[in-house]
Amino acid sequence: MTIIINLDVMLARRKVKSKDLAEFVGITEQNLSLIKTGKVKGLRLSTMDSICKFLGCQPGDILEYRNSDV
Amino acid sequence: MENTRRIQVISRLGRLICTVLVFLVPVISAFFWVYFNNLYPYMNTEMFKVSLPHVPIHDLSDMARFMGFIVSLLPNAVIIYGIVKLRRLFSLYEKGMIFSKDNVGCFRGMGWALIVLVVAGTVSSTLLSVVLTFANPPGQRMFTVGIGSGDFTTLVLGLAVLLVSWAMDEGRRIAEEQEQFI
Repeated sequence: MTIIINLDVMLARRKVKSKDLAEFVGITEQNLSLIKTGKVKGLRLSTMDSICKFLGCQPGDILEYRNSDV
Repeated sequence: MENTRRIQVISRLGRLICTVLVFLVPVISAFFWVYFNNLYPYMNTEMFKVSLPHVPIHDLSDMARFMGFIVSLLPNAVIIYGIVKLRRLFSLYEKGMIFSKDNVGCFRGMGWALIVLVVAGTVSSTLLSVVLTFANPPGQRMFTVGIGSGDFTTLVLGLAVLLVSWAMDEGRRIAEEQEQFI
């Protein structure tokens, strides 16, 4: 089981800087970087809400599930 | 935020009091034994209660007072250790660290200090009974071993603090996990 975080892709598509997103969401750039690299245990719904609001996208655009067993 | 500020202000005061106490405990004990011969006639009166196993019937020699000081160092050392741990805890609270590994260590240290204090207090009290009555005429020398309700309270308190330290460790684990949620 693998959860892929496509936040980088969405940021590139929307041509948005990480700094601006971090500022809007109210988290540090370091924490945003942790999210992008998937080095977090969890993502709060409130954080996801802010990210989706800023990028105008759905949670599914950011999170992707790939079955590594197949 | 208001609560954090309150914790920090009270902790600073607590840390200062603990710093003073760390020095005061041995100093007061030393003064007590140096001036013991001036003090003992007033002991165990309504005005001046001292928890000594026996009040001597005559002045103590320098050696006996020195031995008394050494014996009383036993529980005092445990008390000082406990105060040092409490001071460290206040210091951590002052820095805003509430659920860290160090906090858990402080609680654990204080819990064990209270438990060991009961043993140290009993041993010290037993040895003091010998020191205080050693110069008495034969037949009036005593060797007493006693455990009181105060010791039992301290023991229960120590166990309670130890339990809190385990609960704190759980809290620390949850707080650390929470930190990994963004």
